[in-house]
Amino acid sequence: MSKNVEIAIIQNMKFKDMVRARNRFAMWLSIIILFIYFLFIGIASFYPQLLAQTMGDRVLTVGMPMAALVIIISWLITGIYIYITNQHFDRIKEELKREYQYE
Amino acid sequence: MNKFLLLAIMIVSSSQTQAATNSPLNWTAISMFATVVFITLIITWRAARQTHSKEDFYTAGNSISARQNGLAIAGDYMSASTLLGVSSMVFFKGYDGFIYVTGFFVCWPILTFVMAERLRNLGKYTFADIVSYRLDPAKTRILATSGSLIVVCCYLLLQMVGAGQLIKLLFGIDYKIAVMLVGCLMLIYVMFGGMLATTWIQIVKAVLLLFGGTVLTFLCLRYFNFSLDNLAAAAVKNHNLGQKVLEPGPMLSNPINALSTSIGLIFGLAGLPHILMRFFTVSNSKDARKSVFYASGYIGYFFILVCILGFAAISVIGTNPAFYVDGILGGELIGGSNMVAIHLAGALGGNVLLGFLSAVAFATILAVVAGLTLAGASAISHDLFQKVIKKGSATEKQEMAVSRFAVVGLGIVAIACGILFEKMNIAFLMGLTFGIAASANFPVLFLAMYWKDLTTRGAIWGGFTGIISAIVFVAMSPTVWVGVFGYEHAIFPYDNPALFSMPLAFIVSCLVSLMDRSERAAIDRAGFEQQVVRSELGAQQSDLEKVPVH
Repeated sequence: MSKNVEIAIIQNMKFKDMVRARNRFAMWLSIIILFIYFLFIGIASFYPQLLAQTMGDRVLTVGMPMAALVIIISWLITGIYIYITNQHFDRIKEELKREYQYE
Repeated sequence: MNKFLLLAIMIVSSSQTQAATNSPLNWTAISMFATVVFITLIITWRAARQTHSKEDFYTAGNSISARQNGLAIAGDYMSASTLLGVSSMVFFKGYDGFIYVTGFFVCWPILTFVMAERLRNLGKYTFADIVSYRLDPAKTRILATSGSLIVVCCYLLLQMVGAGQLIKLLFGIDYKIAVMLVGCLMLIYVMFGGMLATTWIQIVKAVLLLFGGTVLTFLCLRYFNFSLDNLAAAAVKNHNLGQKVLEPGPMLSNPINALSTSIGLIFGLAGLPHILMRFFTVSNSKDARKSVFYASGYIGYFFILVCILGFAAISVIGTNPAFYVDGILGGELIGGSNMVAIHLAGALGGNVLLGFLSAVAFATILAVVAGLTLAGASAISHDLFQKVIKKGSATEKQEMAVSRFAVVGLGIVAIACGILFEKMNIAFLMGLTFGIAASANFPVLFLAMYWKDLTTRGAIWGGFTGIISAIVFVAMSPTVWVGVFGYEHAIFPYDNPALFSMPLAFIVSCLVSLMDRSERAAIDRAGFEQQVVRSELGAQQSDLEKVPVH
């Protein structure tokens, strides 16, 4: 019984589209995070003078808030992921579950 | 149980008297330390009364909420080395320490996007459940268990040696007694309290750690009149690097080494069994997802705090001869280079904060060690004993008994190795742990989740290629080849193997899978679509135990 349900769900276009969209969504967010991080590491390795600039007449270098920003931005992107997954993908999943009485 | 409690109390009280004779000043620290131990034992006692089934033991009966699990995950990740190691790295190397920390952080979003929900939906007790979902269960579980156990043992050994040295410093207890104390307490927690106790100890410790870090950072900022610029200016003035302390430095002079370390950190996280098992303690995938969000919030906040502490310490500790051996500024710190945060607490918060932070550091070690041991024990009892040796026919009682034996076994190994390796340079274990996690556990787990054509043979070949290549590369790296074996030049120039061993594992897995024409391979591929349904929608209640294709 349950196997039939699962096979039926696999064939469902709504499910297929949802999985594809979700994978693509997760992939793009991962790429964005990795891009931000490796950009930061790349600048620190190859153009350290960019991060070594001081901010105006302060002693603090640009690099300090940058490192903190890498952490904060990647956390915020996690938040975006969770918001969109809760709002969008979870709703489709709930519909599918109800449709196939998959509990 | 009472016997063990008594034993623990005896050890604690005997260590108290000893510490008192060594350094009478530590009484505040010791009373706080005793309080922490007392609290954890009460947690264990209460958890033990609720731990009956193997669900309780492995996953706390899925009873942990997202918020609690977030704290527990953060607790698992914020080991003593985060507080002590990172703050002293910033203290000595300045900005490079901060760069290093970002690598420790960005792995969390990736784990959330790629793994968190699927782990929860496909797995029950260990990450091997996911790998073996459609692949040959016995073979892939052997692979997953090998990967888990090597990672757990290396990490455990690192923690034990660190714990022994730290406790010796903080409380003046003898190294061997310190290692045994940690080992025995951890045994009590895990054996009696299982996942429930381990999780709650982790939560308590995470809260204490965040609280202690916040208080200390507040005191630091007050010291500099709440101006980060004052703090930075003072650091520049007092550090021997001068302005360079705020700039990228020599750590990144070898970009490939830096890249390999980053890759190891980022993907290694997704292969650490004690982190992965945390996803099985919540009740559904939504909570799994949310708990990483909470966890990474706490972790990011704490990392930024610790970096501020490191920079503040440059001026507070670095200018005060009282913290240096023989009062020589710039010489050796009293108690060793890892004591920066502890000295800072003493300097700004007096004996009370010093004692508090020491006790928190101790609780941190205990909690992380307990988590590791539980991960190792469930790999042995659930994967190796129940699924591989008994083919799923062992009773719950037998499995529980084996898991407790495994806990004792791991505890004894941890204590013995901890004592044995006291004087050894074991820094290479860090690279090895993350190297194997990133090149054996992660590729197999990732391909099993996302790639239709992965077959049993491909997973086995790829996984073992990852394990072996990581070990070989680490053995030929500067830390081992030069540092341990004493040769002049390292064959493999980088300390972390992940940049090379992880792609190697992926390539071998893919090639072998694609060439695999066996009967098993057809079954493996046929199971994928059904696995996708379950990884998205979760298991059906009636279907929890049943694995569809074997």
